[in-house]
Amino acid sequence: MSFIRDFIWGSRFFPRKLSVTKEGKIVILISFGLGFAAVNTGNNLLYLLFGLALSLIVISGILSEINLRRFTIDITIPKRCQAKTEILLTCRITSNRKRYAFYSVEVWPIFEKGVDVIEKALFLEVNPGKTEDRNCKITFPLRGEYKLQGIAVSTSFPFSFFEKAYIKPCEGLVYVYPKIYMMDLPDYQYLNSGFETSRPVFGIDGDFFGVREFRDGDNPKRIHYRLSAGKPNPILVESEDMGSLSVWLVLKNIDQGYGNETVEKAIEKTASMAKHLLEKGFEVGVVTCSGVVSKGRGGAQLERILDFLAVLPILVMNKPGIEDAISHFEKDLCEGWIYRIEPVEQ
Amino acid sequence: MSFDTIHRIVTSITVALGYALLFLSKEFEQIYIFLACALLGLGFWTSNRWVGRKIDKFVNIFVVVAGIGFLTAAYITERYLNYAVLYVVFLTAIKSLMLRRSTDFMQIYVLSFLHFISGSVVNPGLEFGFLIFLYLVCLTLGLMLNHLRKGMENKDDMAYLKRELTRRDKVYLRFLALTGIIGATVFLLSTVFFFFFPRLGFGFFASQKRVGVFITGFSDTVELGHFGNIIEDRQVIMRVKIKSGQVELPIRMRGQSLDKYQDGVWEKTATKKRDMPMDKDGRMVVEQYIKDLEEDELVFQEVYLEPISSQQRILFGMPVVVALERSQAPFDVLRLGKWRFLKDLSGDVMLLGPDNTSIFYTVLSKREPQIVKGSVSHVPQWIKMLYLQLPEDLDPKITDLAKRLTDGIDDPYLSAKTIETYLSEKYEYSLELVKRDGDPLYDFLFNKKKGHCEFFASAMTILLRSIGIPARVVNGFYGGEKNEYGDYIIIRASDAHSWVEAYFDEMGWITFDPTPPESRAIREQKSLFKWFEDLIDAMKLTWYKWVIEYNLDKQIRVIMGMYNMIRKKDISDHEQVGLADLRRFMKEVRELPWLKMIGGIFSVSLCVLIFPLATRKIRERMKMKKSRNPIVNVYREMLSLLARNGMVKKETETQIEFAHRASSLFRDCADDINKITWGYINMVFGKKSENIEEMESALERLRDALSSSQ
Repeated sequence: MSFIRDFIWGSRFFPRKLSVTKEGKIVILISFGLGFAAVNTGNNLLYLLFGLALSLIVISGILSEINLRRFTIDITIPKRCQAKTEILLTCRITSNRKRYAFYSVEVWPIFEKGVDVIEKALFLEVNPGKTEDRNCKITFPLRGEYKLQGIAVSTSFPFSFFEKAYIKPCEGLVYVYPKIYMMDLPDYQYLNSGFETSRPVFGIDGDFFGVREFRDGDNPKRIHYRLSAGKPNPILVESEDMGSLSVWLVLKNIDQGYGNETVEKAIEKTASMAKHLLEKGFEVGVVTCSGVVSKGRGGAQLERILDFLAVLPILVMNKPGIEDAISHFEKDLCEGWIYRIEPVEQ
Repeated sequence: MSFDTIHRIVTSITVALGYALLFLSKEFEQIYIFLACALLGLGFWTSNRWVGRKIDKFVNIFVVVAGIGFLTAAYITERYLNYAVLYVVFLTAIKSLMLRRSTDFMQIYVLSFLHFISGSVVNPGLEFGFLIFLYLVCLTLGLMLNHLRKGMENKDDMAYLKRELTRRDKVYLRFLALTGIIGATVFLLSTVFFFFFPRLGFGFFASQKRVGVFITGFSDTVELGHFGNIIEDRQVIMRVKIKSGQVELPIRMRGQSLDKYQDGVWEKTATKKRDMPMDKDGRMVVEQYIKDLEEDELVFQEVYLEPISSQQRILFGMPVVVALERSQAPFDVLRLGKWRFLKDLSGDVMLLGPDNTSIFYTVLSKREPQIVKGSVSHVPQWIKMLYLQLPEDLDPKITDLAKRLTDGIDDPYLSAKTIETYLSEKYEYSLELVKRDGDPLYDFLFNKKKGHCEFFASAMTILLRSIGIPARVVNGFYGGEKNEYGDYIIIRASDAHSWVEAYFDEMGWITFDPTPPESRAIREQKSLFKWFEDLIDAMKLTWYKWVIEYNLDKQIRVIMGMYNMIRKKDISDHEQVGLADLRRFMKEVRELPWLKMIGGIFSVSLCVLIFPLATRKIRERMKMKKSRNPIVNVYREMLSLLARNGMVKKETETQIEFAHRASSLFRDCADDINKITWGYINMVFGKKSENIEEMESALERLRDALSSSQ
């Protein structure tokens, strides 16, 4: 029966989504039994009880409909977050009622791609004219771009027999980064000693190094306003930093017959490594079969890498010459350590 | 009180109502119900804190073992229903000790609902009506509270759950008011469903029955002395509504006559019965001379006879019963049990049909003639044979007594009156069941000289027969209490009475009652709460007539009544509703302009759907115009005027920027535009109130200028 439920939830033809709870199933079963018994025996008291059961069902439907009206709802979603990590979203309800409160309304977001709703935001009681905030706990199962379709509002008020819901259309976009986990950096000491570069690069401290355009993640304190005047984008001042180490993370985002899961794992590893390397002060760049993120340092670079990895496609087949292209690129890399990450059979 | 306490109280009351229904049915050992109530109380008192998961496992095994035990007991005793209900009570009692989560509460509500389903079979009395109403209110509240509890549990946070359950402001007056409204709505809707759900109960597997009254003294053989047993019984036997004619209390409802007396036992020897013929008015005729009677000579009585545990039931009526009517006859053919209305040679009327069901009928009675004398010279032979029979071993002293009493009286009627007076004056009425020596009649007349109505009636009958006057003992009811609420007369078992009918030429059977008049005073039990008893009885009658015995006939009557009410036609209460009416109703329904009606409904629905969309812009504009401040309205009007002339204010523009742009385009109106704009800005941001009249005149000038430029 779940396919019917999915169809109803996916279809815009049904403005209200109705599902029967376990209690509701019992009540329906009892009603059928009572109706059968009443018709067979002609016992009027059974007709009365049958009427009572039907009334409870009908009133349940009417009250749940009333309960879903006359309030405004809003949800705050993050712009970026990690996959497979619990995220709290704030849902806000403002009651437009003047007399009666509404009870037991659950709220959660609906994305184009499915998400795991761990805990819906439950508003047990919202008094007339009041605004209340509750948190909803969700998990994005995969990295990628998640487009918000709407906010689902449901209630099983008053008797928990049926769950009635509707989707309020709403727009929004979430970049879901690959999951980042704790890891040990490979041969960290070796990296530290063998691949030191003498060329000065931008850093936080030290002498003036150069200027460039402001990018997302840069510290706004370093904007040079005089230079920025008249320019479409702000200009950032970079300082010299002598101790930078370069690492290129080469990711082979090709499904080599082991399934997408292995590629996803490789992407997660790349993201985790990039994060830890950047935290240690390394200059990190990412090379993939679908593109390159040039080297950089700091939080802005991590954001760039994660943005890139969030939407990185998984290539289904090994395009002819793509291996050569990566090798060629590796040769052209002027300096830095190269760390290859490939999907492996589990 | 905390939320948890209120929820537990409501749940306990809900369950207790189910127990009460079963308890009042008296079908079960009361100890079981008391035990279940005690466990319910224990569960509430301890709040089920002691229940743990280990106990759950033990309880599950216990429940299964008990189930097997109950099944075995039911199989052995063949009382399946009783043991099934007791098992449900057992499960409820166990569950009431283990109420922790919302699922437990839900289970106990389902079990309490099962109590009411069982109660519908074992206890269909008025108490069901009261209890179901209370149950409905409690169940609604309980289900709503349980819904909130379920919501709290969904958080999966024990600290939160504990905090919410102990909150004292959760269930407040407004919530209770809301629950009350919901409960009332559920009740009203249940009533609608009840009355309009088609009554197709043909009883394929079982049929609806009530527990019938067991009443002695109304069969073909009656042992002298039986009435003494039922005279103290206050059970209602019938309710009589006098529809026409003046009748004063006490009323006499004749039942059955007996013809042969032997060894203290009265017997009916003329037992041959035949179906009552119908006359052209659809009445079941008892006496053929009904056709010669005028309407004002008849007394119409509507009788609602309670169920009696016998397949053959005596139908009671005021003497002399001449015909019977039954208004619910048309759909009897649809039922499995068929009714047969029979009468015998003595004019007694009875019903043969399913037992344990009540019956509602109308009796047409002729008033007894007022006579001063009568003769017995032309008595039909069959009457002589039947009603002059004397016991084989009749003591000559009895005959002597009769002769002595009527010595010197020529007129048989006066002789009968003399014997009646003698008995009522010289003998004492008593309800004591004393041991009789030898023939009870002889013992009554010559030894004890006291007894109840049966002895008086028997004595007078034998005395009359011994002097050649045909007489018979008649058993029926004499008395009644007026019910002020229902405007009817209640006849109870304690009103059971015996009297005498004697036959006279041309007059027929005339009633004599030798029982002393003080007998009524002795039997009458004064109640301090008569008004309350009357009220309850009136409600009972309504409950039985409109709930328990509501059937297809009544349903059609209700629908037809509503239909006629809409069409402003009067429907009389007497009017019979039958298949012909149903056909006429269906024909009229078919002839309704359905196409036009459907077209109309469709058009109205379309309008309802389209109207909000079509008027959205208008409403928005109206909403815009509805600002309380007239300056805002003037500014909006200016924006609207300029927009119609191609100057639309951008969202990113400030009021001043827009005013500059508009002024540069409409140079002639620059002053007016600036005046309105600055007036608006001063009012909104500077809180200065501008002269509205000046602004309105500026708006007028702008309107004129723009229209002239066009």
